[in-house]
Amino acid sequence: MKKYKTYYIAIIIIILITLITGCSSNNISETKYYNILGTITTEELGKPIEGSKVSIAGKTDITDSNGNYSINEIRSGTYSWQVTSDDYIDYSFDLTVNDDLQIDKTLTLITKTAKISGTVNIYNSSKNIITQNNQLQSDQTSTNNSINSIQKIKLDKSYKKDEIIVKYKENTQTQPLNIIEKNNSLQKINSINNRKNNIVKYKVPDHKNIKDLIRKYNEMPEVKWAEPNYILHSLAIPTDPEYGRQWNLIKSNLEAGWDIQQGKNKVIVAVIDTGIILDHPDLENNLVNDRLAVDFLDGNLTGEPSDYQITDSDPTDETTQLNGGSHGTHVSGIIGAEANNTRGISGVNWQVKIMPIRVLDASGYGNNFDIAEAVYFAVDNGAQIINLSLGRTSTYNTESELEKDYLDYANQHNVIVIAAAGNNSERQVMYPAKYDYSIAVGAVDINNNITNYSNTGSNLDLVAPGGTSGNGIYSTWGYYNSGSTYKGYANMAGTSMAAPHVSGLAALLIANGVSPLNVRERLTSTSIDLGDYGKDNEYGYGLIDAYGALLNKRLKKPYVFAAEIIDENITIKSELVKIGTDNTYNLNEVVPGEFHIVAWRDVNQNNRIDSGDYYGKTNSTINIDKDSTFSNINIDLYYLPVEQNIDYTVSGLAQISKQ
Amino acid sequence: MIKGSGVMKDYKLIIFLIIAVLAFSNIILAESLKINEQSINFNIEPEKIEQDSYLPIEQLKELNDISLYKIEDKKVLIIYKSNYFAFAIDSKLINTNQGNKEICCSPIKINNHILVPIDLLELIFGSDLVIDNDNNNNIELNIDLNQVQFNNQEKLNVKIIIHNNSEKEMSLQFNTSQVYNIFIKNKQNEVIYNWAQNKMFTQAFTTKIIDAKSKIELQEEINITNLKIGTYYLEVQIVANNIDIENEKLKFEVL
Repeated sequence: MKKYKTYYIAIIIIILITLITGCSSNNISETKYYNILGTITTEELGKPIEGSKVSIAGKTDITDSNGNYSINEIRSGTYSWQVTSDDYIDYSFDLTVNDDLQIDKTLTLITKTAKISGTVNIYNSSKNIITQNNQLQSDQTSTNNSINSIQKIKLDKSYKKDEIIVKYKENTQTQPLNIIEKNNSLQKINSINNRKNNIVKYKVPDHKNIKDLIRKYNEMPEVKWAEPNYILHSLAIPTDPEYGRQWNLIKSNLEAGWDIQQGKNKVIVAVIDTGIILDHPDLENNLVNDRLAVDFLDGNLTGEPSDYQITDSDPTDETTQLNGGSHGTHVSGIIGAEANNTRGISGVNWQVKIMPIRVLDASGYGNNFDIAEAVYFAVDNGAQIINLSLGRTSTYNTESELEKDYLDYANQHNVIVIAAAGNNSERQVMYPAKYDYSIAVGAVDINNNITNYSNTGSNLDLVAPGGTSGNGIYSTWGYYNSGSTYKGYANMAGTSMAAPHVSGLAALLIANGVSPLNVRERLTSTSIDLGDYGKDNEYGYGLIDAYGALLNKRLKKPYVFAAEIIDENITIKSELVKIGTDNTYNLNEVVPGEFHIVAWRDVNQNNRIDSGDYYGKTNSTINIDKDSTFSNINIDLYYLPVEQNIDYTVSGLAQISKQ
Repeated sequence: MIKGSGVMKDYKLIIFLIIAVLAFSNIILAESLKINEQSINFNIEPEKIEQDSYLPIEQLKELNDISLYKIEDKKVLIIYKSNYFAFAIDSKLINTNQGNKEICCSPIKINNHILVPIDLLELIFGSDLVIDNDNNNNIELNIDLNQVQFNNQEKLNVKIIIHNNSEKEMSLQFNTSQVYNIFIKNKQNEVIYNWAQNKMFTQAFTTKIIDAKSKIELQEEINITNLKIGTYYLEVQIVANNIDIENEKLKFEVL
């Protein structure tokens, strides 16, 4: 009896434990399933379509006589939702399932179809759109909202050659001034009454001198000011004079990224390298204080590197011009050259704190011990990221206990180490990039192809622009000459240049609140997949994407479709197709009519074409006739920055709502 | 119809190469060509050979197995190893016994001298044509030691001298900041010291430019405390990616 009692107690305890743990959602990873239902109808009459095939996540249902379908137990995730029906244009789109959803779709009858193909050119930058609204927002006497806009908008030196804008003083009637307009054959394009002021935009005839007209208007007592119609740029595009040479930043998708985060001067990135030119005007405001900028070169090579001893407190790079100039200055400029300071270039970070530590000599080489000391110093002094644009020679690419120790130390302190994969065209990554605790970075060229020099292999994590001899990476540079330094800019190429792009992006992520623990995963999960699908030996997880990383989403391939565009309403007139890996598209189901071809990446997945998305369309409509075929219909796809304030409605998409 | 022996009387053999004519034009001259292992040298400092680089055709007369004939004023016939090639000035079309061919760019005539693109020479000579990049012969490596006998408390002071013997500036390109490697080998040719082994290099491309008829000198100091008494060989390797330079060796002794 006593024996049975013991069994009963044990069973009761097990049941209680099971119940308790079963109630605790924190202890058990729960797989969630959702149901999707909806109705498929005709576009023209809204009648239900029977027999349509609806598919998602490998499950399918056929619509009944009321056009209804129902698919149950879909695991949370992102899938392609598809509907096909005889005689109707197919429809599919990417859908993130994290709730029970109702998805209704109207289908367009295929009467006559045309075929259209072409390429989508994706620009990671915004197209400058000159609008009257933007111009008027630059008025310094406008409302508070407009003042906010002023802070985001800058004037370029360029302006429209045939337009001027005149602001009249308060209570001035513009009608009596028409004689001036007539004398100069000015044509009023439009005007806005901004409270008590009146701002007018005029079209200027070809033969008139725009500067003379502006001078004349500014001399008139009734006029507050007159000026050209300047072309506007978003402030998220740096104004630095040499920014146009920095293709590498566009390829890293930073213009869109800077709309979210431009860097903060509390994030410290250690650049363990040849030192730096401390007073370079494009860097000096983004450096740590003097105490943390140090030299470990040729120091004591005995003892423990964790007991580091600084050789001297001056990390000035003493590389001469003959030896190629300052590598460390170049690397630092990629990470954080000051932006919008009327000088040179912009870094990945507009603001950051670079901690320059000198460990490589004026010939560009150094020893492991000095590097180890520098890593311990950087970790102990607040660096959150360490950039190592250095590596071994390929003949001696072996592990080192010293390196493993310092990387382990950095990892224990949540410091991210990013290193160059090496330039030896080897199918193995160089140490120290090769270690698990390093993020190994290979180099791509201006066309996003892996360079012929970049090391590759299974340990490669990411690629970033590294440049080639023809298209190098332009950054801060300089050289040492008899005690003084020359400060300038130069092109360089190598995985040394690729690594600081990743270090810079890691700094942007930390500035944006991402925990250092999550930076590696964030970088790899949001990169642009190049080469073979998924992680591969040539490109690792792919090319860094600053915008995607800051949004925490991998940007999807854009859709292409034919559309009728009336004002801000876009109606889909074809199937939706995603562009291929080579950015080409083929539309095989297009209804006849006169339509634009549209490319669209709905980044925020709100089914509207608005700020933050990518959008482009053919310049003119295409007259699509029965069974006609069009090829080489290419579309330029641009990022839509916040400042452009675009918001278009898209009709013809599936209607999604929570059940 | 062109007949080889019949045209001999009527057509004049081109025998002049007037370098001065090239000064009139922006024509790029080749450094050195070899056809059937026979060199054709030009008395002009070499530039890079491209398909559209022009050469004075008269220079080909030096070759065996070739006959050149000028037909009228603007046409040329070349016979090489039983094949004929007829072309006209300012025409890309080449008439051959293997049919008509088109080349990249038309032969041209300047100051009564005919110049043809490399593309045409490739058509005529095929694999017999070798573009000889002479850079390797123009670069010479020397090494120097402060002495030849050391005790192992002393250091080797290695001087590395790279000479450019050519008449033009040369650039040596490197994949990283590593320009050279230094080995110490024993009598059995085993490497017992490798300078680069524990070093780290910047991973950016670098270039060393050496002026015409000039040299650059690099220096390295090597600690030999680990070397036992004996005879050793110091070997220096230049790791340029664009020019092969033969390693240089020096014998020294540790006493």
